[in-house]
Amino acid sequence: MNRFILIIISVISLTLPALAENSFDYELVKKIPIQAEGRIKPLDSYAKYLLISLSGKSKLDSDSHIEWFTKLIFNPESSANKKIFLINNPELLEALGLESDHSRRYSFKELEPGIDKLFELAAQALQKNEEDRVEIEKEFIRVFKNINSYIQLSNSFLFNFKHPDFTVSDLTKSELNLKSNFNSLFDVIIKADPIAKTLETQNTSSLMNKEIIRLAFLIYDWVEKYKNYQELYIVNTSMDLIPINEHKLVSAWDQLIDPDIELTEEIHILSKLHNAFLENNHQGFNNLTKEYLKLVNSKTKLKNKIELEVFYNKLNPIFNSKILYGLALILVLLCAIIQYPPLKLCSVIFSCIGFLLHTSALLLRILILDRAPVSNLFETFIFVSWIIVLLGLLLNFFDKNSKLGIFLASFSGLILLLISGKFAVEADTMQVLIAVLNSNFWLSTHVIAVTVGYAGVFSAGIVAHVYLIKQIINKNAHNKKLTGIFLGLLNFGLCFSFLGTLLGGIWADQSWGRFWGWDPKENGALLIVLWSTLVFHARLSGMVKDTGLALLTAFASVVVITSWFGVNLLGVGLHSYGFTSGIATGLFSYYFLELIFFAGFFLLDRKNSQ
Amino acid sequence: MLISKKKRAELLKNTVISWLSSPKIAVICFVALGILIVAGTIYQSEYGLYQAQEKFFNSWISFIGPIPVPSAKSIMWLLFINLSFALIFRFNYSWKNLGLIISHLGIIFLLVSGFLTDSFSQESFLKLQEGESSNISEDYYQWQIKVRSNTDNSIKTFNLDKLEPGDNLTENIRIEKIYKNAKLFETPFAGTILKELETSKEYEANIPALILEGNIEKYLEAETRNFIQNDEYSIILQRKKYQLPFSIKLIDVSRDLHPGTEIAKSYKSHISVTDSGLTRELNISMNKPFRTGAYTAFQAGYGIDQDSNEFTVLAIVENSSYSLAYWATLIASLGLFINFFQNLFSKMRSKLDE
Repeated sequence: MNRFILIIISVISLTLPALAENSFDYELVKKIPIQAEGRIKPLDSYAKYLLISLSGKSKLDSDSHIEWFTKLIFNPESSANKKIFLINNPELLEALGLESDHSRRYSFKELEPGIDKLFELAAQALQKNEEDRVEIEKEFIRVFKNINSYIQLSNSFLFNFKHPDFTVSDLTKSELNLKSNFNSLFDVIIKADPIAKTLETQNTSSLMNKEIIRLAFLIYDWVEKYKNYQELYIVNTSMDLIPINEHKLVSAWDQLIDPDIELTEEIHILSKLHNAFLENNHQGFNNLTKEYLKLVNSKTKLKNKIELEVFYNKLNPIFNSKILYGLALILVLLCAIIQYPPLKLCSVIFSCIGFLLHTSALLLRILILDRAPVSNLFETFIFVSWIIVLLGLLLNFFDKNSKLGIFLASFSGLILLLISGKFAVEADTMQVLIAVLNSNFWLSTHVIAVTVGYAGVFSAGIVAHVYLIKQIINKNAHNKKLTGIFLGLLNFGLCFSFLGTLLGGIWADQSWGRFWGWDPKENGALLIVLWSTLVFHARLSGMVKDTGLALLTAFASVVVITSWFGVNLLGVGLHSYGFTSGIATGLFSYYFLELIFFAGFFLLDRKNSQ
Repeated sequence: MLISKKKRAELLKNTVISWLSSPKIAVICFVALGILIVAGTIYQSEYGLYQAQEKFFNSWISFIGPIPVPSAKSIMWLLFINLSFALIFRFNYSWKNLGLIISHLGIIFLLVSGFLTDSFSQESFLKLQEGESSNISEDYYQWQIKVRSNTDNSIKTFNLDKLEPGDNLTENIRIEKIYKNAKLFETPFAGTILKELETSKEYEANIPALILEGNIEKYLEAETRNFIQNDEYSIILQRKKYQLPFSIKLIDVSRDLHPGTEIAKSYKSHISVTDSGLTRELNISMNKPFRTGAYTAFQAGYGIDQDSNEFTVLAIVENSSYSLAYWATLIASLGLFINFFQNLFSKMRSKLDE
């Protein structure tokens, strides 16, 4: 499977225009592995989500995320004027005593005078409990963390910049075999042996020896300063690029400040790479990147996964399938209005291509992460929408004359993927799993069954909505076929919800010692099962007729949404970056819309029957 | 079936049987359970899980304001009766209903397993430092007071939740006050005072305390002063203890992090178990408990105490019927899927016939 995908990738890359040697090859830079958030990933993903979390955008003016990032770490001065810090709340600027220019983003240079104040305010806010913090305090912390990361990253190659501290006389230069009079910390630190030898002679009389002793002190001083500096950080954003074994990468600074770690080949190449960048030496830069990648890949053995992830990022399958579903939805609605059949065919084609991309997104994520693709809210959206699109396409396949299947597929595909975008920043970084979730067997059974259940019941809800709308339009005509479809979908959803919920019980019994504990998430899942079962029993007992059945089923989608997110709202406050009120607002707008829908239905239905 | 078709049809005419086996009862139960679940879930975000369980789910009756309403336990018994009656008297035993019959049987098993667990299972915990061993586990929620007479060494045991202010522990020691969560403080001028604290949502974190009247120290507090005595009696306040049929020694406890983060990848306790004379070593970790007989030990917590010793918390559950729930899950799910495919195929067949 893996190999097959790599062949596709290489075929695609052959078709790309060969890169001229007169520019930096950022495509290569993207493939450099970095360890962050507990996972080794390509710099491509790292840079992309760093930029999104700082600025809320994935691109800056003319620079792509990777260009911006490379400039930031290799030449921080040049990016200090870029407006990348998203400020959601203008009060923050007031609090820092800065002028607002009514834009939403500010550069590091603009914010720099207020950093000490921000540090103070964020520290105060951090003392409070998470749930007690007000919006502006959350904003202080968010922006502070962002600036914190930014500063650390811009310092990650500080050791390789020429610095007056390390300027030496000609005599010392030839004694230590240095290339230039003007040196960086790195240039002199690699001469530690001859420096130590000179110190051992304890001859402090000559000017040269005095200079070498000064160098030794300065190295010590810089290293100590860096260590102290590191302790100040609240979030540690070091660039862990250099593999010391298959599973652990460290930063260049880690190697420099730890006297017990031997400097590896990688740090030398990184230093040269940095120099090549500063000298604008394109060919040298590109060759060094290749050399570096070869070396690192031989140690981490993750070349395939890294390239897959870069490919995933380039393919951007979620975004693209979203657009295709959107187009399909417009076409199928248009087709319903003007009754022109070829439009439906186009809509089917778009949906199918979208579905293929959507499928590839799931497969790639499984291959990259080695786990089932459902472990956080973002991933459940991707998966649930995939199942509903699949159900819709199957429906279309079995009933080619109806537009319902395609409508179901494109509508839910578009809406759910649009919502998933809300959570992309924190979730699409492909997170590692906390201890209790770290079980592939249960993730791929319990969680998948529950989410398939969501999809089934939710799509039944959508079809029931369609039923009710049709009933209003066609003046009380009961559509038996639609009833059959939404009951079938509900039955499908019930099977999986039940299985998933109870498998959750078994998992809980295995890891916590109780099958059922009335935990909010368990209760939410049980509500879906109860409601779906209720619909069938209400029909059986004759308590509801056609319309009532559709109303109950339509309400099932409210139950699903409540269980899916509403439950999360009750628990300990959701920590999110910039989307704090996202879920709550979204959820209540949804409730409001459903309220209008049901109220509207009752009013119009009454009017019709009069 | 044991009862003939004709006989069943006759019995179903009986109003009580007809009523008790009606799907309407099931619908009412579902609605009631749904309301209780919503209420209990909201309540627990405010007052904690234990209180919510006691109020809405584990009791027979719960009060909304002054109005008594049936709690989840009674509704589930009603559902159980309804289901059993429906299966015995109402269900049409035909191949067409195979899936439905199996799934309803599964649900009956599931409810039975729930009732058994509710009545017979016992949860407790065992906190061990590295090198420490024990065969006594402690209750999460229940506290006991033990009073030992120094004259004849007899011991009287009281359950704290059964005691009320005014009760006597001995003929001349009386309880003045009981606190669910309190702490003793040494103050410079007023001496020792007992301060009531807000009850914690995590019920097991509460430290109960009592004020006593009589010829004995005034305060009894579970954490810092859980043992007091006078010439005649010794009094101890402690969690209810359970004797286990095996003993566990903690050899090593460890926590693995995802590299470069503070996110735990796994917790693991390396223990040795002595069970009826046989000692063996094994590992307990998240998702990998240790089972022996009706007992199961789970990795439930990890921490480092003030003296920087690592400790592990193992949850000990005694439940002889746990496997019933697994079987019930399997049977009920199987039934649901059979029913789904039966419906699907019959739909497709009727479509082909068209």
